[in-house]
Order: sequence, then structure tokens, then C-alpha cells
Amino acid sequence: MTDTLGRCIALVAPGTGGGSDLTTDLRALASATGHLMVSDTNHLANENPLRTLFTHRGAIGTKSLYAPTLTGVTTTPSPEDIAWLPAIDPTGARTGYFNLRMGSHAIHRASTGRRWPSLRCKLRMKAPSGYTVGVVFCAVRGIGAPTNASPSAGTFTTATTFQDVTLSLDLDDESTLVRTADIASGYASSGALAAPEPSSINVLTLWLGAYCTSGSAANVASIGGITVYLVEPT
Amino acid sequence: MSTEPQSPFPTLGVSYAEVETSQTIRAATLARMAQACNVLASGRPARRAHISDAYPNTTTARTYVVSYTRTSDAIAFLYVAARIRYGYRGDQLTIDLTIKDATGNTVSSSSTAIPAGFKVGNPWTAPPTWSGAVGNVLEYASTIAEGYLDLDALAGTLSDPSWSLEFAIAAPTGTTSTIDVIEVFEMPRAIVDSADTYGMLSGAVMPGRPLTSGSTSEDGIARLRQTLTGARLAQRTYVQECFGPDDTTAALVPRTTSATYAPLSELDEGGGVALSWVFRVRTITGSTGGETARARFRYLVSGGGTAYIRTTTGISTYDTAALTSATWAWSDWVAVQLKANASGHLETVRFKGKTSAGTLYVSGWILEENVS
Repeated sequence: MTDTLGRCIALVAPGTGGGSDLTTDLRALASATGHLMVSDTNHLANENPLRTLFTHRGAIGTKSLYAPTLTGVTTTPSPEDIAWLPAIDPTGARTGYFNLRMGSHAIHRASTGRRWPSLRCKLRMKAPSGYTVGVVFCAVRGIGAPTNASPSAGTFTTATTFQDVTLSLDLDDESTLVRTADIASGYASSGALAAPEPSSINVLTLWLGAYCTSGSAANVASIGGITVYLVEPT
Repeated sequence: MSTEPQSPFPTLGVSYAEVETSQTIRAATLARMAQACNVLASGRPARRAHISDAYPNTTTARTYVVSYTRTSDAIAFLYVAARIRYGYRGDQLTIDLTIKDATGNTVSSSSTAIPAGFKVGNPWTAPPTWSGAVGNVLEYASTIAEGYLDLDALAGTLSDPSWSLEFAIAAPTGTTSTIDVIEVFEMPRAIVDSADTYGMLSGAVMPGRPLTSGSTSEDGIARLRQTLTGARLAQRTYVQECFGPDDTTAALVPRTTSATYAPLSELDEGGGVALSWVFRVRTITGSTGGETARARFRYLVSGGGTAYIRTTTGISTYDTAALTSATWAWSDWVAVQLKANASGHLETVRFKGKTSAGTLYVSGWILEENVS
């Protein structure tokens, strides 16, 4: 969005009064005040739809993964190549699987052109010597499980030192499912409850899965520092 | 108090040309700006928390804890849900939610403010048709508890803004279900309420109405600026993790016995390098001194030690005050600065810990925006 300085301007808070309060009573409304308000509004319209959606330490240390060899998969996996069960064993034992439900999220259109923002998944990963590790990042419409019909992005590596990985997914009108609810407002101990407040949000669910061709606890891969966030539409 | 529906649609840009010297101030300009500020202040909340891979204990419940601070009183509801991906008929899980503030005020699950699925006396039971899952099929990727927390109702008891959401999870022997994720996020508002700190009723700027300065609580230009302030103070949660339960015997709770700053176990890339997280920073000041944020850690120090945790950002390093609690507790908030206007607006953070004696355990942390 244009017509912004690209940051918020530090001003005396409204209601402070005095000569520095741009909108205090009896003060002429200046064009400069309007410009500052327009700039902040447009800047925040760019920024506020964007946010971190999910963070996870991943599987490093004793939790490093040795996902099982998946027949025929040695490159970028598709969602249905991943063994989504069992889940990561939270007791710390290596189950041989790495699969993560990264939450369901309310997504808002970006202000610029009312387009949907883009998803970014950042992580670091490395493979055991002589083997391959691959990951796939999926965005499922609504609240559900990944399939090959889910938009996805993936990669793989044989590097044995940590590699920075960025996976990107663009969203469109089919990426989310509208969920509506009438949220009851107030929990009075007696008398009538306040009228419910209607809610409507666009929801998607994020997943991350991985494989490693070693299939052995003696040769483990690592995936760590997982973050998912929204960026401006591409 | 007056309310009106809030447009769920994205904000529309306002042009400099509409506020230039000698231009007539038009109602349409002010109405669009009011609509934009309303959506940005209460329709795009960014505070959230989650717990991954929580597993029950068959003897005593395991308690997983996350931190939450309400964005403002213009945010009315917090969505909370628990989901699983695997189960067998007859499996049972109980989730008991207790919410505390930093001064010890408590709302227990017996309160009417806690949704039914998060009460200890209301276990979830897997349907009799479930027979376990086969292969890669996620047949049972289900929501087992879901509801909304009324933040005004909770704030009546929880007077300190730093809240602690404590989920105690239990199951009878034989249950194979584990909780995939518990997630909590602020709901965008669908109405504008003049009684809230932020929110501009559009009627005040309709054609024919006098243009007034008003006040921060009375519709007029000052209230519009107040709502714009609310848009600026729509703080983000940048990084948040619950590494495991409040349990020093849990294998995956990070820990260290190091007397000098060192990566904690399970957060160690090797070679003294702590695990890092990369995320996008909202530009507010654009200052080279960075954008203001804050962090706190869920910790315990055994063995009478005095511990510290050091957070490293692209600006500098920031240490907690001395950590001495021998029971699970939140550290005080530590102020940190995050890089502003970096390439892609991206920042990288990591933390290390040390203790003078015993072991420092960290079961979770949060890094959240704290601009003013």
C-alpha cells in the first residue's frame, strides 16, 4: 500500500491535551495531522494481517529423527509419502517418525489488493552421512489431515551440516474454510446471558512431515528451529 | 455503550491526496479511516499459544503451561481447542484448565468461564467405532475439546495482565491417544464497542455530522486517533513454545548444569550453537535500536542454584534477572530489542542458560512484541 512512511510516527498520545496534542479540543485540524494519520493507517494495514503462526524446536538432540525409509522416495516428498502415524513420541524415544500438526489458524486477507498473504516455513535440517532427509510443508483447508490434494512445498538434502530451509506456499480463495460461530458473551451467574457475538474466520491447518532414508537410530537426521509466519502476498 | 457490526473485510487504503491542504474533509475519508483503524485494532489479533505432543500420565496428570497476555480490552474472546490424530475406541482423556495471573489470582476449571471440554470432570471418550488407525491414514485427526474464553469475565478475577494457562492432562491406563496440539488464539472482533478502549463508531463521521475533536472515549478525531493507537498496540506473539510438562523427569524438558552460558539439552545444534528461530518482525519505529519486545521463561532450578537465561537477538543479548525458584515458575519479563527493517523483516533469536549449582530446567518460553 502506498502513501505511507513505512513506520509509525511517534506522537503525543491522543487525549494528552496541551500544545503537542494534534487533536485536542479547539485546535485547528491541520493537513499535516491528516497525513500522519493516513501514513500510520496505511502502514499498519500492511503489517497487521501478518504474524507468526507457529514455532517448534523440531527434532534435534535425543529427539533427532530416523524416519523410516519410504520406498521410492529419495527426493522431495509429497504429503502422502509421509508416515503421519504414529506421532512424534513425546517421551523422547525415537519413534522413527517426524510429523507435526502445526495448528489451525485464522487467516486474514492482506490489505494490499485484498489478496491472501503467503506462508513461509523456516527450519534447519541436516542428514546423516550417506543418507537423505526430506520435508514437506502442507496447508489443509479448514481443520483436517494432509493429502496429496493439499497445497504443499518440500525439499530434501544430503548435507551433513545444518542447512537453512525456506518453504513457501501462496494462498488463494480455496486455501481456507470459513468457520462461523455465535460466541456467548458474558457468564452472568444469574439473569439472561448477553446476546452472542457472531464470528466468522477463514481457517487452515498446517502440517510438516519428514523422512530419512537411513531407517536406523544409528544414523539420525535433525530438523530444528521450525517457524511458520505470514508475509506479504507475492 | 453502543455497538455496531464491524466489517470483516480488509482495510482500504487512504490517500495522502484526500488530506492535503485546501482539500475538503469528507465523511467518506474519515469513515474509511475509522473502518480501517477498527479492523486493525481488533480484527487482526496476533497473540496466540500452542502445546504440541502433550501426553497424559496414567497416575498423575501432567501439566503443560503457556503464557498469554491479552492484546487489549477490544479483544473479547480467546479460542481454545485440543486435537488428536490417533485413538482407539474407549480411550479417555481429561484436560483440566486452570488460569492464573502473575499475582496468584486463579480461575479453576470449575468456573463457568472455562469451556466444558477443559474441566476435569468431563473426560473425552473415543467413539466405539474407532479401531485405531492404519498406515498413513489420519482417520481420527479430530477436535476433542473446543471453546471460547470470555476475556472480560476472566479479567474480573485475573487482575494482572500476565496470565498462565495451565493444562493438566490425564488418562486412564490403556489409553493410547495423545494430544496432538492444544491451541489458543485471540478471536477477531465482529463488532465495534464504544465502551472498549479502542473502536470508532462509523455513525460519528457520517455526512451531516459535525466534525469534533471529541476525546479518547468519545467519538471524534481524538477517538479515531485512539483507535489508531490500538492498531499500533495490536501486539504479536513472535515465538512461543511449551517444550514439555512441568516435570523435571520428563525427558524432553530442556536443561543445563553449565556454570557458563550454554545451549540447553534438546535445543543444541552442537558445537556450542543454540537452536534458533527465524520470524518476521513488525516494523513500528524502524529504529536502528530495534523494535521492542519481551520474553519470559517457565523454569525451575534444582540444587539451590542461581540461574540466568540469555536471549540473543540481532541487536544484542538480554539476560533474565536471577532465577532461583525451586518450583516451576515464570521468570520476570526481560525486555529485548529485535532488528527492525532487516532484509525481509526477519530476525533470528536463540537462548542459552547457566546455573551456579544444580540444574536449570526450562519447560517453555514466549517472546512477544511489546511496543508502546
